[in-house]
Amino acid sequence: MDQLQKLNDLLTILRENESVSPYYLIRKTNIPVNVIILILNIMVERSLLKNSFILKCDNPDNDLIHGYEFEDEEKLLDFLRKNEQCDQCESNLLTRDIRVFYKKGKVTNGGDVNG
Amino acid sequence: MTGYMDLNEKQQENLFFFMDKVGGNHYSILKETYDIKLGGSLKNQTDKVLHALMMNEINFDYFTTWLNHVNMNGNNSIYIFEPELSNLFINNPISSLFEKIKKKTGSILNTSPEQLEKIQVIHSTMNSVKEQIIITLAAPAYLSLKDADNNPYLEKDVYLGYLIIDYKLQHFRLSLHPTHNIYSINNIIKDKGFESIALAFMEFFKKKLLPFNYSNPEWIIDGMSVIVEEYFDHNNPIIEKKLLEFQKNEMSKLIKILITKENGFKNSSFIKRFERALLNSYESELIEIYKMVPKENSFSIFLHEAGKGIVSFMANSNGKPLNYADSRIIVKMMMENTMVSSLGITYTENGKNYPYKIAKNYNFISLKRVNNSGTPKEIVDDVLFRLNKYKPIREFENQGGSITEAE
Repeated sequence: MDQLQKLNDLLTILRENESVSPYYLIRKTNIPVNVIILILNIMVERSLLKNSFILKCDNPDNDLIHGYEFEDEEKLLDFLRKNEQCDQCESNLLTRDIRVFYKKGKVTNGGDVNG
Repeated sequence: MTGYMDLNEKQQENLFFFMDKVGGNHYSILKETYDIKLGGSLKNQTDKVLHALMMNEINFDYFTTWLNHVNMNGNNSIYIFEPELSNLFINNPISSLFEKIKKKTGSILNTSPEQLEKIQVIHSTMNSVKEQIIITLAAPAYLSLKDADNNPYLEKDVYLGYLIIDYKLQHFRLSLHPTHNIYSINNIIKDKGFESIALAFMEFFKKKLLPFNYSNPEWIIDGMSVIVEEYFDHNNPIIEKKLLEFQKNEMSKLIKILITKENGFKNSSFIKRFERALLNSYESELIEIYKMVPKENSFSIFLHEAGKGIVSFMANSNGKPLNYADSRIIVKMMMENTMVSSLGITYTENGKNYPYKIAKNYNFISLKRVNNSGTPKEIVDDVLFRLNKYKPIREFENQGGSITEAE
């Protein structure tokens, strides 16, 4: 219960459109990975959170790595179908390391994201 | 093989080829073990060692191990791979795996740039106390050089990489020397890092010697976060007590004042953020008065990179430890809002600093050197032993590859 309260606090404190990674929440709450992802995905279904998929290129110069953000899997896949390489620097796209984040939706109902 | 005099002409030539790679630091290892008066130029030291070899003053087996390990104690970058299933080490006991590797081990004396076409094991040794197998892998390589008229040309070379199978830490690690002028290794052009080359060495090992799947070493992200928290922890119980009292007795009063000023502030999202800001501010000012209490940390930190979503943040003190007064508040904000993505740590032993930049790749951990000073393997062992202490027990719950989503 204490863990869920912590999770609630961590999601409540987020600003609208602020993103959070599941591993950040796991680290702060100690809730197992599969449970936290289940909770977050249910919250996406209820439109309390939005998905955010981050894809980066592997430009060897750290300063020239390009990032792409997609709000759903379909848009991500569509981009990958059209682009074999980074469209800004022609480096490879790190398709094996796509990061999943969650973004807080519009805050209503007193701000508590669990309702 | 019993001694230098038994070598044929080609083997002597190969021995000389690898002797040319030996630097002053590596000679000092021989000097410590055998009472050979080394000194003067590198050429002079090479001649003295060859003379001692011919006179059987140096044990030939010891010498070949030393020669194989020529690039092991440099400012090497380390790549750590962990198996998905921890029973890999139980199912493959160290002695039987070592026997299996030995059967496929060639010799440095039969290795030359002309003959070597693909990655080969050319030496293997076992350390029962440390529970490690150390494998020398030779890969065909090219050096990028310039002639007297400054025209670039490529020269065939042999690159030596080291794979250490550590049964105590239950991982495989590659120690790769940042050889000067290296252009390509195993037909992979070396760009900024050795990642692709490390993966090629591991693919060879998995294909020829021990197949296994990599795990996603997510624990290192947690480990790096704990290292940062320890480093910036004020460690002062007086501050801790005063913070709790503030939280219990004053916080609600202050929040009440703040939220009456703006109707929207009554939303719990705003209240939580006010609470966090007030607590952080109160803590920072208490630290000004009561000071942090010094403590022994495993590592100091000179670089902290973190990110969330598509944004990344960095605090970098260019090799020096991050200063408490300059960076604590900012790094604390980064820790509260983001996940660490890479960390610059310095391990100090006997007054010498060994800085590394740690980062997590999707299936390995890299520790890159950020200066040129050589690091004995024993120091690397110590760094990794201390780092491994940050590996949470929780990670073992995931054995069996049940993790479905990467960060």
